[in-house]
Amino acid sequence: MSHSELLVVENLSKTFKVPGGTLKAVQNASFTLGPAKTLGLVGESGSGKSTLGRAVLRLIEADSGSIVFDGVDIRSLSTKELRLKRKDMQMIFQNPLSSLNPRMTVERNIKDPLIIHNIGDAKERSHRVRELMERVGLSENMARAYPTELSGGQQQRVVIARALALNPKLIVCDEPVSALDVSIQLQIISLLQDLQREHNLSYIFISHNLAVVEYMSDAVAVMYLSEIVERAPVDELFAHPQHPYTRVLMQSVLKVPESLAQRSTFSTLPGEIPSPINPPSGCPFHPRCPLATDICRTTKPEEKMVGDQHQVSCHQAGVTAQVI
Amino acid sequence: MSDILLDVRDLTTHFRRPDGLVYAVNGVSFQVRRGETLGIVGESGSGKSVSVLSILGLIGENGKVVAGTAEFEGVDLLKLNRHEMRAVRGREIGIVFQDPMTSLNPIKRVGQQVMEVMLVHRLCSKQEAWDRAVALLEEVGIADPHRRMKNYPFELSGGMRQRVMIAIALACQPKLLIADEPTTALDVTVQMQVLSVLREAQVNRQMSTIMITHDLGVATNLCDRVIVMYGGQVMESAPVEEFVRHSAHPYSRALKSSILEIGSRGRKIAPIPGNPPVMIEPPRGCPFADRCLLVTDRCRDEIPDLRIIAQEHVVACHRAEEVLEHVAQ
Repeated sequence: MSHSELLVVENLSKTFKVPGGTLKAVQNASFTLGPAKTLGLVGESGSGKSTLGRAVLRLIEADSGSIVFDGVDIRSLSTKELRLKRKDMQMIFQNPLSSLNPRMTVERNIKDPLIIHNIGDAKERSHRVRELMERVGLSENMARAYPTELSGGQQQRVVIARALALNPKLIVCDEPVSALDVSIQLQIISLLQDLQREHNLSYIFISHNLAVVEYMSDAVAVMYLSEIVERAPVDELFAHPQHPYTRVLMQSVLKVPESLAQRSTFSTLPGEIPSPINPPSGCPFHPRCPLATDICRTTKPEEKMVGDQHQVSCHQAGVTAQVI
Repeated sequence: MSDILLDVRDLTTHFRRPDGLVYAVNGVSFQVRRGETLGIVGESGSGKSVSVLSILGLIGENGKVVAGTAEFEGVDLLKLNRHEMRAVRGREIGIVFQDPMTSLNPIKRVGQQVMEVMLVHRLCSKQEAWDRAVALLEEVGIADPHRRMKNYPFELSGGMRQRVMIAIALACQPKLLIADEPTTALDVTVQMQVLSVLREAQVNRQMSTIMITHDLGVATNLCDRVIVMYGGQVMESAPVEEFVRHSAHPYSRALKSSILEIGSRGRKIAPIPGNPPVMIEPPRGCPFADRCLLVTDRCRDEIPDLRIIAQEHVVACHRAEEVLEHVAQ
């Protein structure tokens, strides 16, 4: 593996025990992420994208596989060592209100990680909080407010300020704009991009929205039913999508048409994502795939290279690229 | 028979909160024609849902419609008593909400719930209701409808539950279908399926539809006409083709450029600054003034009237002509 990577994840798997069986949430996920780069993880509900994001930070313990972050094998760290390392790895969730302490002021919420990691004295911490608030676009008079008194966009800014407090190298952003109004979404996306440039941050950017992922990411991994089914640098993926599911996701992003003739036909896949407790045989996508043949029903496709750093798990990839 | 099915005028709705009033809807007027699909687009707090819930008498105890009329086939819905309203809701007007799990009864089989609406409104016998319910489930794209009739809501996926909601809304052959963010909670591939069902039902049944959505992509791909709301007021209304080509309100234009489409990568984004208004004071001036790049003193002092700037195209902006000129250049 190249030394230039900040994060190298190999064959990461996670299974949950649930009533009625075992749920394979993530299967053999592998990817790399360079410093100051963004990996987009895209997929629908139940695809395993959030579990993968959490497993990378060990907020969920993976069953197998390896996570090497900044040269350190994260999975072998003790709890104490992990806690120290977490300074470098932060997370932003979809619903800001549920990740902030409602009984603490904005200032105290942002200060919390500094207190936990025993960084600076009281004066330095206050100064740092003011600095962070200004940077994420929160006015000083909000310091004494409680999270519920703020709008959704402002709450997400508080979460971002708190995530930045310890100068992390990696932030896992799990649907950070999905709960926000469109006008606010763009503000937060723009802020995240500016912060990435200023602080050389790496992001794992998780979203169900392929357009947002394309906008944010340098590379994209498409997940379906607990597996990464396609992965490529962003320009390559959008120019030459190989997996039928990737192409359907691309069609599912509704554009504002320029005329009635350009309106979407709403054509899409039949059916819905099967239960990950009882996944289909062969390729997990085969029951919904218009290209499925016998081999797809019986044999799980191996990951294969179809271009520069472009990997796809599909028997039909490259064969019938024009059909969908 | 008038071409206008629903005629809403000067609708004004307030909510009481412990700390004062919320001016949720402030003088909203719009019409729905027969057979038309109308999209009402806005962000949270724009008043898009409250407007429609007000008309249906569904705004809850702390809300009050303080002014306006809403004539449905000539009858003012706002003057109906509870009993009269019940004869309209579900019968003349079908409703689909965002979250089917909170709208469906969790302990009743879905078939029974589809039948119930027909039986309550005394449309047919029980036997006939069963047959009709099966046909409805088939119409909304539920495979194996006979078996599904006997399922409970929890046995269905989110997409299927939303299809059941649509079947219930269509059961009494309403003249108007109101769908409030019906696809927002669904996965993108399932959203496409449900939009397709709605479009087909609309075409086959020639009913009118009001589609309430925050998603301009959904509204412009599905609807014949689009209304944009902000701060409890109508900002703009136009036929969809006119809207996508010549929208004249700065907010409509900003909303359009806020949508990331595939291929946006590398595009410079210019987010709308600021936050949506919290309507705790009576509106004074244009609600978008604080975030508008074209704001003048007049905008802050004088609520812009909705005025006609092209055929079927109305806009509430003092500077709409300048917006259009600027775009033309």
